Amino acid sequence: MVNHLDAQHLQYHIGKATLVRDISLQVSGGEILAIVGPNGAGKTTLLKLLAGDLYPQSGQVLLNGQPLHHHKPLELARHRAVMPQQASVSLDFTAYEVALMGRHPHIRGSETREDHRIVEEALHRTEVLHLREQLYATLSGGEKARVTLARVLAQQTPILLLDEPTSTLDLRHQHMTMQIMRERAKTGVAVVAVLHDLNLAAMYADRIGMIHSAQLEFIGTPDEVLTAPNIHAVFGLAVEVLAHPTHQCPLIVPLATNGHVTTPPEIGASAGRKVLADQRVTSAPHLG
Amino acid sequence: MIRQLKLRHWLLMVMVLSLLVLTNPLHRSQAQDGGTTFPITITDATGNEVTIESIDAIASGSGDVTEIIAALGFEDNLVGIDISSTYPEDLLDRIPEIGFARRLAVESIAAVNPTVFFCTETCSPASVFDQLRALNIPVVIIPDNSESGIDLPLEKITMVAAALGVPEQGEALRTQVAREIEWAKTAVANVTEEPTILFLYVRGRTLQLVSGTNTPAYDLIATVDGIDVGAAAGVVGYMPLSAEVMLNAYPEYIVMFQGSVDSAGGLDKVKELPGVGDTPAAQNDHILVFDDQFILGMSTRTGLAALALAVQVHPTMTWEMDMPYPYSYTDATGTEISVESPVSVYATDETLLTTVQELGFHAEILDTPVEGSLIVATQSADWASWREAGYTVVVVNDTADIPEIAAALGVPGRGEALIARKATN
Amino acid sequence: MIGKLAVWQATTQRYSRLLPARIALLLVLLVILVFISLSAVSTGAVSIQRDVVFKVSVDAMAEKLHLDYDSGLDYTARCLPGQSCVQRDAALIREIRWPRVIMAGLVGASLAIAGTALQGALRNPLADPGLIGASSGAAVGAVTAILLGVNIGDVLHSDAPALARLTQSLFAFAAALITTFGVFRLARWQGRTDSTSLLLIGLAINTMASAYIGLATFISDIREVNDIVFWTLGSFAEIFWRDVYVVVPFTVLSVVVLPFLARQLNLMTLGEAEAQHLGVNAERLRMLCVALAAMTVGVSVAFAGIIGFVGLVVPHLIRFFTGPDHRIVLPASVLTGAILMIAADLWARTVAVPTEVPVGIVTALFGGPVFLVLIILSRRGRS
Repeated sequence: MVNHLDAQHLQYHIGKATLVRDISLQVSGGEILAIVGPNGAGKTTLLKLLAGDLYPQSGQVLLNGQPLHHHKPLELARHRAVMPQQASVSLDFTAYEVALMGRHPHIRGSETREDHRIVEEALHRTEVLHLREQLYATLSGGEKARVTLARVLAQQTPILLLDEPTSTLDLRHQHMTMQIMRERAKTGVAVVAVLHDLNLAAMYADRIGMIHSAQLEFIGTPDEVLTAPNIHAVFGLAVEVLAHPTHQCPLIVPLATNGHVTTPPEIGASAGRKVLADQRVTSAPHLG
Repeated sequence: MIRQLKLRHWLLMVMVLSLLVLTNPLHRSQAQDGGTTFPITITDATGNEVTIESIDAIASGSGDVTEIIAALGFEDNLVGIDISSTYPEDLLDRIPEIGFARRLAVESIAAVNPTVFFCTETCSPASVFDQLRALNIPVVIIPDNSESGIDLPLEKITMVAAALGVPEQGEALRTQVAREIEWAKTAVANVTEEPTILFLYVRGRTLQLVSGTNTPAYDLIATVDGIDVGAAAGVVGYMPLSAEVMLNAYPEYIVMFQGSVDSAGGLDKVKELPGVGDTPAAQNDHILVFDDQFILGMSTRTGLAALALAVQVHPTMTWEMDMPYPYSYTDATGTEISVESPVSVYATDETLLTTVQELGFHAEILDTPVEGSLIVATQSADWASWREAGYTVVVVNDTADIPEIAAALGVPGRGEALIARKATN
Repeated sequence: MIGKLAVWQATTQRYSRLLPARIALLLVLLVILVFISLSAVSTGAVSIQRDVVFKVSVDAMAEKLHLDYDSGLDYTARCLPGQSCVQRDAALIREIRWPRVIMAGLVGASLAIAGTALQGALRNPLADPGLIGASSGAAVGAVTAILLGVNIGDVLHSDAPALARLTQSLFAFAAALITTFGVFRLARWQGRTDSTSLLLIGLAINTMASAYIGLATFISDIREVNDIVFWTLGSFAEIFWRDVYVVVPFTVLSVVVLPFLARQLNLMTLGEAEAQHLGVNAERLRMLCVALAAMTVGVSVAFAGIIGFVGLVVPHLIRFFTGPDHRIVLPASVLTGAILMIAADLWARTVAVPTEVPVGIVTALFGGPVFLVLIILSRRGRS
């Protein structure tokens, strides 16, 4: 199965505000693409365009060569699963029932033993099987995220789109989540994950796309993208990029001056934008 | 001996049986029918052909109809009446209640197993009629339409009497009620003032309506030569009370149901309603309260109701017009008195005088009567000498009540009206 | 590994036991429904012996189904004045009580399933057939018909009261659909319908509708007020078989179609986007649910007036016992709605003999406290 998501010149704006400006990228089965960038850069909007929640005003997303909207919702659901930033459930379903909902695209009639087995395996893998009879609404944020992850896994799709899957998780479960993604990628799944933690991205992603002000500024391997000048340009933060002691990947450490990592912005000035303008002159960005 | 005894036994049995048959209520009602044999078929107010098999068990869904049925002598045939059937007064104590004319329920009516059901056009919900027909209970709808004006009671009587198979009795009742209405009309024919009158309907603190055209109140007020200020203010049907409407109307008299006053919590509370307290009616204590069914039932007592209202709103009204003169009356002394049209009326004591005046006569305490006067005297008074002096003297008992005094004056109907008025005030 | 297997088996067993348990619940509800229907048919201002009720009912059914059965009840006995007789009792049971009980059941089922579907589709536990404007729209239509005095009978040159009622019902149904459509049209923004603004717009429309009805009550005469009160408080007092025949197809449509959407409604609780990710066409699902609800509720209100609380409370009541899975909540609310409405109507027509209490008052009277208790209990259950 060829799992290929091809975004071509995506453009999306609401009113005068442009949220995604001419972004093109591809992701194929077997790889993890991490999307990073500062708050409000347009990461979530990009993911929604990839998921088909939003229609781009221009450009298109091809799923295995076919435009996304040519697929029926159910067909699409068998191809890609989406993990939202936060998931609330309006009625009192148990964790198990929520995870079981992930099987919907595959169920004809009612659930089979196989469906139950897949769901339990997913819950087991995300370490929430013991919570399965609890009401979803009563779980903690991290537990909810893991149940939602189990639901996404139970959907068993060749493409996974994750919006900040680790933001509510503790350190162990952040790595657990990314390890699961690695495992899936190994079986041929294409993974796109919006991440905030650059180190997490560095450790697990095959490629990283860095977004700033609605534009894809850099895309490439962690080593290529996660450089001190790039990070300073996009995030407005001085960092030092070290070699990871045990992994073959960069390790980003913020630099502190006078005990402060950041300085308050000047009024009326966007720090990042200005730095990036300077940066463009000196270093050619890796545009995807 | 034995044979004779047997024969007498048989004779006795036949006699008892025929007596039973003759006194049988079923039989009697047939006798009342005046020869009409059931089933009879009539066309009711909604244009439906109704075939009535039997009137042995009558249910009436409306107080005005109940009143007519009772007046025609079929009180004993009633097996169920609605809660507005307040006349004759004791009916509700004796006859099962079947609900309220405006909120009828089919099962409550069916529960009394009537052979015929009477109601008016304004009874609701109308689908109850269909439901009753589905149960093979004939439904007779009596007209209740404001287009008929003050003659509405007459139409009702005719229809009820036809359905009961007693058109002649209906004609008699109709004539009586028509005469009473005519009395009221003639009584006010020569009054000059046109009192402004408003009918106010109150139900607790939530519903206050004033009436205008297309209502029985309008017809009644018109009958007594009053001005319906509700109608003058542009009210059609019933409209919510507001201070604005009230001031616009500015009535000298306000007519209300006793039920309304009770539900408001008394006359004082009524005066607190928006705008009511500022009207001349409230300030001069001219809020006239009547029994609901009596004043606007549009039934057998409508003529009396009109008279009762006329008496209240026309203080200068004289009654000459409706006097049945000459009349003759056998008074308390057993003397048959023939009364020609009297010049004026005198009474022998204050109590008597009050009643005579209340009956609408311009009377004075007996002192120096003019020639040709009528003297109303109590038995203990010196009536004999006045009679000898050539005056027309009617003697009543010392404890004479209103009906007796009214009868003595030749106006028994007015007596009834006065009693009704007193009862409601 | 053994532990893990054991857990799997336990869960699988639990879920394999779920289906029989649900079927059992539905069977129990069905038995209660049959029982309450028979009790309702046997009870009323006219007391009829139970065996007569059953024999008449069975005979009527046999006659309709062309079965060769005769209970042996003598229908020809002469009716004596002032006494009950089989003939009249039979007519009462067949023509008055059965249509009334069946209509109460249909309306209860309609309101309950519409409420359940709406609460699911709009992701709002406060959604109620009344909230999307269906009920108040229907009432506005009926009241307008009353005020204008329109009557199909005028066209057909007939003044049967039934035709006036039918006119009102038609107005009510049309207005229910128009209002619901209007609410949706207003709530639709950039190709999507936002549930919150939908409910808020519904609220605004409801306020306008009740103002209109209040105004109508004020300016109409006493007779019309009576009719308007019927529409705003609800009643089954004026039901004939012909009304039942009109309502049946709508109720059946909802009862048959909506359970097929049960799992999609479950997914809607995750959120619209999430449901969409799982293959649900959320917009279409919502339109479908609302259209079905508006139709069923519209036709219910058209014949029985506005009856509050059933559509709101029944779904909560069921979920309290069964959990939120729409696959059980939908069918269970159909049965429970019918049961509760028949019971409420039974109470409404027997508590104040010889008059009747509007059934809407009864449902609000009992529905309110039940709703409160449910909220408190389920809050306790969560903590």
